[in-house]
Amino acid sequence: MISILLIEDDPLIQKTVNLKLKKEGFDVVCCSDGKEGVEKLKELLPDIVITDLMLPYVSGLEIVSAVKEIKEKNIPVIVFSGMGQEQVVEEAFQLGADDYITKPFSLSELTIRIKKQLKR
Amino acid sequence: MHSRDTFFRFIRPEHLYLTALFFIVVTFIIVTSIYVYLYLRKKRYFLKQFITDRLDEYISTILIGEDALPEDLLLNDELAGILSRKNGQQLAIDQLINTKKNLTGHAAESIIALYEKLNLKAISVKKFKSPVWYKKAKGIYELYMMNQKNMEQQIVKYTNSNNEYVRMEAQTAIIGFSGFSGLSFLSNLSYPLTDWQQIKLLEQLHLLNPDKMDDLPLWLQSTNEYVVLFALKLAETYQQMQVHAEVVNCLNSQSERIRHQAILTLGRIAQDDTTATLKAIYAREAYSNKQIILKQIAIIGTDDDIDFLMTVLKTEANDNLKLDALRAIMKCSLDGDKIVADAADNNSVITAMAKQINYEMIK
Amino acid sequence: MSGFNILSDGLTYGIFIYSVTLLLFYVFIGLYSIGETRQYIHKNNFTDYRLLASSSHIPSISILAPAYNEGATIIENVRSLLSLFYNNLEVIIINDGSKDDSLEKLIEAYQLQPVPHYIQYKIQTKEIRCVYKSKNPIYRKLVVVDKVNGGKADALNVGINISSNDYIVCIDVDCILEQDALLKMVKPFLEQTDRKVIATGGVIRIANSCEIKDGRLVKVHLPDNYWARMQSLEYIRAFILGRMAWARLNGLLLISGAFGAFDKQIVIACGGYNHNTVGEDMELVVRMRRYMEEKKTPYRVAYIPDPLCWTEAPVSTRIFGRQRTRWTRGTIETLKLHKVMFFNPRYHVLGMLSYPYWFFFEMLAPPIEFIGFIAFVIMALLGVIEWQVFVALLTFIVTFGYMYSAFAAFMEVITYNMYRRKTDMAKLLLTALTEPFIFHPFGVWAAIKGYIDLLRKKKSWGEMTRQGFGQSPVIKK
Repeated sequence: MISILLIEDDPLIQKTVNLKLKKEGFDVVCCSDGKEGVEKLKELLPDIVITDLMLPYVSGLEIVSAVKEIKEKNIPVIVFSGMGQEQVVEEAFQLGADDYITKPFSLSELTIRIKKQLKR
Repeated sequence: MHSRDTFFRFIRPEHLYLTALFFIVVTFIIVTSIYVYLYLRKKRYFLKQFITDRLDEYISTILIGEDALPEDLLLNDELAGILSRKNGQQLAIDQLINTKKNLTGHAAESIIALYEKLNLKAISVKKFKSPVWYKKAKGIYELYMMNQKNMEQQIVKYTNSNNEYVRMEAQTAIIGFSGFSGLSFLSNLSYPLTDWQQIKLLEQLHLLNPDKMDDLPLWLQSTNEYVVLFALKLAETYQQMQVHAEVVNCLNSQSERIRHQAILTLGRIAQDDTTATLKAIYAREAYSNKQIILKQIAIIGTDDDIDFLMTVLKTEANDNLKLDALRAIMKCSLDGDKIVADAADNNSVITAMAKQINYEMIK
Repeated sequence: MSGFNILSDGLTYGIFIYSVTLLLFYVFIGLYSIGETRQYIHKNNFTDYRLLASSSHIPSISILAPAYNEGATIIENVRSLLSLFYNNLEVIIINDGSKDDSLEKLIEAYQLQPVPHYIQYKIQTKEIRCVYKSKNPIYRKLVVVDKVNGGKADALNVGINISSNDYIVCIDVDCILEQDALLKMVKPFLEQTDRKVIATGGVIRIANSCEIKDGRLVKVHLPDNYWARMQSLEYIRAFILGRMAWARLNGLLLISGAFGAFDKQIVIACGGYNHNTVGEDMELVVRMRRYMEEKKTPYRVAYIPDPLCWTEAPVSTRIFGRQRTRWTRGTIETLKLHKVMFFNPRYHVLGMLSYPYWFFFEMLAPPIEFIGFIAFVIMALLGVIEWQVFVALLTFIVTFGYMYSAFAAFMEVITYNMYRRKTDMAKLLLTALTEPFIFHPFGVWAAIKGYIDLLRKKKSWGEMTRQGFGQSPVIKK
């Protein structure tokens, strides 16, 4: 089963995305903050990471960095961002992010993008 | 003894003790109120949790998008009971709005459908009709967050309301419903439009596809200073080249803020003669406007402007202006760094400035 | 009628009238603040700050945080500041010649390197040694300035000189700010139409015994330590009641040095912070207000009642005492510097209400209480007045204090309700009972020491000015 690491601090989004992805047949691990996210990342080596960029304390950019530093596995990263955060998104791409989706977003679109990243 | 008599003539200790007793009684009442309030708060908290959990379940089920019929969640008696009462209804509305903010498409529509199904719209409308300003404003907020477009006609007249908060929410609502065409309220606005509100509106518009603003030239000539400012910001953000003449006209305004924004806008809708126009007004402008003139020249200037910039560098005493002039020189000319190096020769201040600017350019 | 009797009469009446006036002021402040706080909460009920924090149209802010020997926690503190949501932000840490390894720790943790920066001395300060920025783009908001030690005011002035943004937020480096703090503090500047907002003050809350995880406040608890707990109550009274009321009158004289936002241009025009006083936070606000009054420009000092900033309060009597002594000195020095405003109608509310209030009821209160108390005891012992009078007066004042504290606690509960648990509330109220007997007298004693210190320093002031840094800031006309 494909494993997804989801790092998102909004409980409703976490719950909804979690349920949707589980329905699609993925194995989802959720974290509410960046620090825990980085730990889980190293522990689980998921197949894909989805992270919010606006996380308190550990920024989403640090997570993108951490994911791309992992040499054993090439893990694609999709970032969520709020509206109007083009600059942060661009920095995320510079750090190696693979795709992004802006909030508010559509769940089906998220699923499509995940599948696209996993095909590569 | 004497003093005792004097003092006692006016104030007896009994008075003081009585007042002290009064204070103690009031204290007791206050402390009781504190505990009553804490108790009510806690009840409310649990109610909120309950509603949140139920609604989340309902919404998640829909969003997963299929088989499980969420209808039975609504038939739950307990939830129905809660939602028939005012405080429950308000908590439900708040939760739905919170959720909707993050989702779009099918998910958002489901939330709106739920809002209508639970008859929460009536609550929002009742608030909207209230004469109390903060209730009215909240009502408007709820209605536009839940996309109740059929309320638009009723809300639009409040875009020029004398209450600041009702006015702001009404303006935000109209933009939310009608996008750019909602900006027509600017033509009739007789009150100020704060920077905060302008930012809010710009962020709202940012989410939409840019559309034409036929009245933009009109707004740029409005008697309402705030409308002019906002129009200039719109012209800047959406690069409205066609109002170039009106924007240049704003450079003659009495208001420093309007001139400031006009300069910023010209940087984005520049034509061939823009740099010359900016250079012409430079000398008479205030400090902060001089700064941004130099910043705009850095963006739109060419080799022809180097002489002007060198003059600024030599004559301005203010260090910030010197720095901005140097930055402009570096950006306007291909030989920028050479020119700067020449100027830095024998001049320790410019040498130090040049070092900083060179570092900035590397990053 | 003997002179002695006149004296004792005068003293008795004097103290009584003083007390009643003060109490009436408190009642007025208490009631006046209610309306203002309710208004604020209604107005901001549905503002979505998160949405606007990433806008490209919001004004630029520089956070200025002076640091001296904070090596133990500096990395965490900076991390907390860097995680704030705000689009156009610069976090400037000013290392005020720390003797420990603060700077080395920062350089390592944040991959800092020296960068060329042309230093503009818009305000005169002690020498700046080096400016650092990070090699890592994740930390691009961070600027660290290393300078020769010169005190908090001097460090803040350096920050002002280095800052390239329009608004400055001056904080203590170990403060924990709420995520939306910056946007909330800058909002008043953006809402001005008829009057220019020159500064915004925020609320300081006591973080002792609170749960803090990863630089973020997770759960609020009432402090276990007695002094910290008393300070919690004191801060609630001062902030929720006092400051709110004064802000509504546009008479606010003090913005806490631990958290305040300022219009940088005006701060520079006034000459920056005054390093010749220990009350530099209050002195700057008074000077900025005076500047605007003298320029005859309509202005306002705003205030945000939301709990935005959490800090550790002193827990030992020694450090707490020193803090209060310093505060008293600062108040006296500030009021002395600006004595021209005393009951001067040219300064409107500032001169006719704020200054006199601070003079009589904040500055003079400790000595009046102290002398009054001793005088009463002496008079009672001598039989000049009856103990009855003395006890009655004390009872009157003490019970009023209890009522006022209860009211402050009530206001706190109906507005932000940080202390939710009934046990916390009970502990707070019970602690309030001890205030007139322990906390308050200690505060008065520390304040008296402030007076003594100042009188002593007067003798050595001459030397200080000779070896001083230079001129005190002067308002440039």
